[in-house]
Amino acid sequence: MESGVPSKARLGGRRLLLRGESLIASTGLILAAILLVVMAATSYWTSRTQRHALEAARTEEIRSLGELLSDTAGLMLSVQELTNVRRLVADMGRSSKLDSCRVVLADGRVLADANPSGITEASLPEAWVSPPISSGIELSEAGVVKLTHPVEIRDRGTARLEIVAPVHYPQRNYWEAQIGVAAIGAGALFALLFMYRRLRARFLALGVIRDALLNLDGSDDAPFAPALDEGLGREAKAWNRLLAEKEQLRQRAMCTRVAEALTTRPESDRQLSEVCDMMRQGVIIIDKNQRTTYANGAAAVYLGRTVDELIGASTADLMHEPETAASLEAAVTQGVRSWTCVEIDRRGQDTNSVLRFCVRPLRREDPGAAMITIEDVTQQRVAEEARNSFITQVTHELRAPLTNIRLSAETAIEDGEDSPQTRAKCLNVINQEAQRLERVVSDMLSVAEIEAGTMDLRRDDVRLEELFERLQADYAAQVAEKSITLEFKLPPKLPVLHADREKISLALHNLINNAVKYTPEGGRVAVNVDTRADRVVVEVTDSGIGIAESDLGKIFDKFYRADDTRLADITGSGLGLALTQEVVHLHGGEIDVQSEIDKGSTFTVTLPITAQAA
Amino acid sequence: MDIVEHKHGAVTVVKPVGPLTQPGADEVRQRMLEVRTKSMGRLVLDASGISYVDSRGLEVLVEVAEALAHSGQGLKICGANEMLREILDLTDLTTTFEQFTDVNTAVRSFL
Repeated sequence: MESGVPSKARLGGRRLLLRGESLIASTGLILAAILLVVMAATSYWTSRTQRHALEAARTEEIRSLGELLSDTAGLMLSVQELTNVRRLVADMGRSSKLDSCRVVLADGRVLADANPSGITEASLPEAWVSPPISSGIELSEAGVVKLTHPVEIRDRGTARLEIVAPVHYPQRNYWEAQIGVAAIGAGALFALLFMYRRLRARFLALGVIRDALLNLDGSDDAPFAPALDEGLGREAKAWNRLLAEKEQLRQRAMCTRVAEALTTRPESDRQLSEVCDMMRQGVIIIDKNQRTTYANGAAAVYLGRTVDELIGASTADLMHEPETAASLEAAVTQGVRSWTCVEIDRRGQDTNSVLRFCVRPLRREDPGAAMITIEDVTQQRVAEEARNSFITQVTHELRAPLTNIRLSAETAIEDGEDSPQTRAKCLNVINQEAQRLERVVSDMLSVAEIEAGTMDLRRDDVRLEELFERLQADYAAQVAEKSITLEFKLPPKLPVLHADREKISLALHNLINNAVKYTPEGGRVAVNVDTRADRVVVEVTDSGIGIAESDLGKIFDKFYRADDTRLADITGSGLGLALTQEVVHLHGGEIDVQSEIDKGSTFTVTLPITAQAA
Repeated sequence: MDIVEHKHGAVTVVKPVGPLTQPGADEVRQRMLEVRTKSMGRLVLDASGISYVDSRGLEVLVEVAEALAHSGQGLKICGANEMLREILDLTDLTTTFEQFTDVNTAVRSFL
């Protein structure tokens, strides 16, 4: 109700017309003018009516007087009492304030007159002839009553009574009436002014209320009318009560809005926090003192603490490595608004991870405050390293046969003409190395197919006898070179598989190749084939170096090479077993491995004869 | 119950073998939460060895998924057999987990 104060002050000021008073004052002036006009009209009408009444009364008086005087004069003249008639006329003229009163004969001689000097006939004639005389009375505008009345004189004739009498207007009464009317008007005006003075305050209140109502636009937030001094009357009290209720409603609505805002804001914060917790990236906000003010769930996991533990922790605590902490701190303090990233390799520690910390200052006006994101890039780094290793291995795998081919070709060119044996030997080496190259390239293509998910099978009837004969032939030279015994134990009759010949051949090649590769000179490799119910079981057993138990679960991973010093001189892409497993699974089969360090390994492949699709 | 654990790169694959029921389910839960802390969430549940799941087993899976969800991660399940997939479908939990056909695909999803 602060807005009401100035208006209250104005109400007590000296302005001629206050707020809302102009209307009331103008209305009052109009009413006063109307009152004056009415008073003037009343006065005029009263005087006019009074004048008419006076004239009517005078006229009637003169008429009565004339009739009485004519009758009396006629009778007296009939008995010749002219003198008495003249006295009577004079008395009447005097007593009735007549301008003129006379008895006139037909020929104009004046028989009697209120003014004796006007008498022109000294005696009453005996007889005379007179025209008929009518009685008449008229009132002139000048306020003069003129009466003519016949006077019948027995045995003589008819004379004429003429009376001219003014209407006497009582000037005193007229002015008294005018003064009375003026007094009443003045009294009415005073009464009006008095009432106005008395009601002025209430009029003011009504004026303010009217202005407020006219300006009302219906919105809750619009500034409303001021409160009124309650001394201004009941309307002001009622108005103030209305305002108080309105204010109460407004405050209640405001409270509701504030309450809604207070309840909504935490809800939005909570939602934002939930959204941040759904992020795989850790998010940390630090203040100018390099202390954490916010951390999401992923940040807590990556840093091995709870969110509560992170709040308030310094960046130096979060990043144990001083160099990285220093570089991030420098990025924050320099205030360059770009991301600065540092990768921290914590492999070998508890978390065994590689974390990428990226920092960006938050606000220019808040130096030191920054946002840090944390990303777990361990798997990416591991994969990167595996790819690098693969490239190294593949390069070696490709280079070794190429070198052999080149050397054999050179030898054949130089010495081949002279020695057919040398030429044949070189061509054989070239042939073997070319096949090796083909297998490596085929492995790589197959891996690409697996990665792209496009590897499919071209099924056909696969005669296992032929397949194993071919394998045996393929490895004959290799095992002879290493003095390894390669033995195939096949049942008398092998079923025909409905499978992809190339893929099955590739899988078995990989198993036998690995067995030969990892078996030292003089060792033994056995391929046992058996038929069990609707399945064919192929076991490839070697007396090689064996596989550590910790590596058994990983050997079917792509690019995986066991971290074993015994493999230093043995090359391999790390793809063979992954491909073999994929091919076996695609055929609906299973592959298993059993191994013992320095004693050898046994890979068991079980394939359904009907070769249901996986 | 047997719980086989092996690593694929930086990802730890946990493979319970046998029915995922009380009390073995609690053991699986404990192991998975430990692995989650150690591997910072790089975790795959190989369900190919789970022959049966009861209500407690489902609870354990949901609890682990919830724990991972608090750090923006999801429980990756691979190799679920027809029975497990059907149970997850019937209990409307299919979308609670990230499902993969085999371990390699699940591990590759961390890249």
